Amino acid sequence: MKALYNILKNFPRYLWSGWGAMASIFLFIALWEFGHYIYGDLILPAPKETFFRLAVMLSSEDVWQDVQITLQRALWGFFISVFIGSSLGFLAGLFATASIMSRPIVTILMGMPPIAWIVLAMIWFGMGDSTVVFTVIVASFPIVFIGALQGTRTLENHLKEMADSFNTPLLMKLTDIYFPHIFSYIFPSWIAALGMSWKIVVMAELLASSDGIGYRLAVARGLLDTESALALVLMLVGSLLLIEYLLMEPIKREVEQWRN
Amino acid sequence: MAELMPAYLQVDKLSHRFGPVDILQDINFRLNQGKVVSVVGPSGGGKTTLLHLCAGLLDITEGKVDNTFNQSAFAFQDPRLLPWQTTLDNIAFGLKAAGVTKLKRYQQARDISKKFGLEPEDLKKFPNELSGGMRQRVSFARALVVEPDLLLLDEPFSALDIGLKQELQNILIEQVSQQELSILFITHDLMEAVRLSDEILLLAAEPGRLLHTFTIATPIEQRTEAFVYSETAKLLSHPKIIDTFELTVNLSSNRGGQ
Repeated sequence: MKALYNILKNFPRYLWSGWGAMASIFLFIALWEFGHYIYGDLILPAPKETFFRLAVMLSSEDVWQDVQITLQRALWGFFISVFIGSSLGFLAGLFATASIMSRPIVTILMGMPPIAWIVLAMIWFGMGDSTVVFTVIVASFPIVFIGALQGTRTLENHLKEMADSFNTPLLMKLTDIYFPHIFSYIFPSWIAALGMSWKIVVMAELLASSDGIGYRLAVARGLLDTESALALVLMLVGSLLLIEYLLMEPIKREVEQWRN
Repeated sequence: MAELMPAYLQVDKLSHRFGPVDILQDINFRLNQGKVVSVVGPSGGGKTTLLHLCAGLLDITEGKVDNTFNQSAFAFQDPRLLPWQTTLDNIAFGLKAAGVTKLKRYQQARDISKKFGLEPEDLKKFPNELSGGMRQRVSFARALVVEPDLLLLDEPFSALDIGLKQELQNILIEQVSQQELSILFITHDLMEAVRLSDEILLLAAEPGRLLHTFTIATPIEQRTEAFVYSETAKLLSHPKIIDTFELTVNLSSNRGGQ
């Protein structure tokens, strides 16, 4: 509760610190404009036209429906991988044998390109929701798993001993020592997994679905409609920036202020 | 109650082994209320194991430890603060473990923090914003805020500068004389042992066994620097100390000079 209050209290100051970031984004748009002058409409449509197209898109109900579908898939995949990854990682971290055995498997999972998973998932599940969600899960699961595993593995005996010297009850040891420590590892991995989910969901939709933003990208490609494609990319990048900087970063600053 | 039945820590025939290795062998001693007993000896001699056994942090396998103190507290060589909690919460940790309400434990933590030279703004800081010396102050405050009658210290001064060392030692001396605090502490610094303790236990290494007990009769608060120096010099020339620490003795040097 207090954390939430602090996040809101520090929010205006945090936003104010964003001018530098804004400047660099505008510089990027200027470069884009420059590219447009060189390559023309087909290769690189003007930023103004693209933003205009984006505005048109956002005013249509169909697009919002697709956004909703994509968001749902991404979040389902994200939450399932967070749930499975956190709990399995925690369990594996408790036992030395389990953590040693799971390492190579996780390395394989991490090393396997998501595109390969999409192909397999299309064969296993066909076109549609489950293929997309499955791909999101397998891509983000290892990230969360490793975070939870490392958090649990690195629990310090020193602090436990200190707690024992005060006859600390088990529940308090959990809330004051184990949980904050594991959380400090697991939380960054959740953020990384969320970013991963958002990227993978579009890729999976592009190849294996007939709705969602990814599918719209595929259609834009088919029609050689560069403007729409760019507008969709803007939408994806914009939403990621918003989630990252307006939601995740303030939370991260609050819960991890003891680090710096 | 305390007047009628002074508390004590009695260690009888205590032995301990890790696997096939004997760490401690047949340790016997007694710590009475209001007394300070220090354990000196070379590193790897099982001093920490002995302290952990007395604190109940390790299970006793052979022998007996009889502890009639109500409340004990432990301070370690490193401060062992929780990095994600503020100074105030860290000091109040032991009180929280004992079930003291938030308001009360914060009040007590604030009160004791003044004694340890912590400013109100330090209380809001996280441990990584504090200097090493400050962290050790916090660690001491955390141990003493639970008002222990037995304090177990594992080389708590070894990483501190001399000024802070003296400051913390003076607080302890005050507690011993005023509150009848009892202290069992480990050190490898003989001078520190002489300054603070009523009894010094000499522990030999491999396996840890009690070689000798030195008693210092002069009350702790009456010990001057000169007294501490001369007593330490006497100890340093004691054959058992020379033997245990494998000291090389320069026979031509002036005894008691350093």
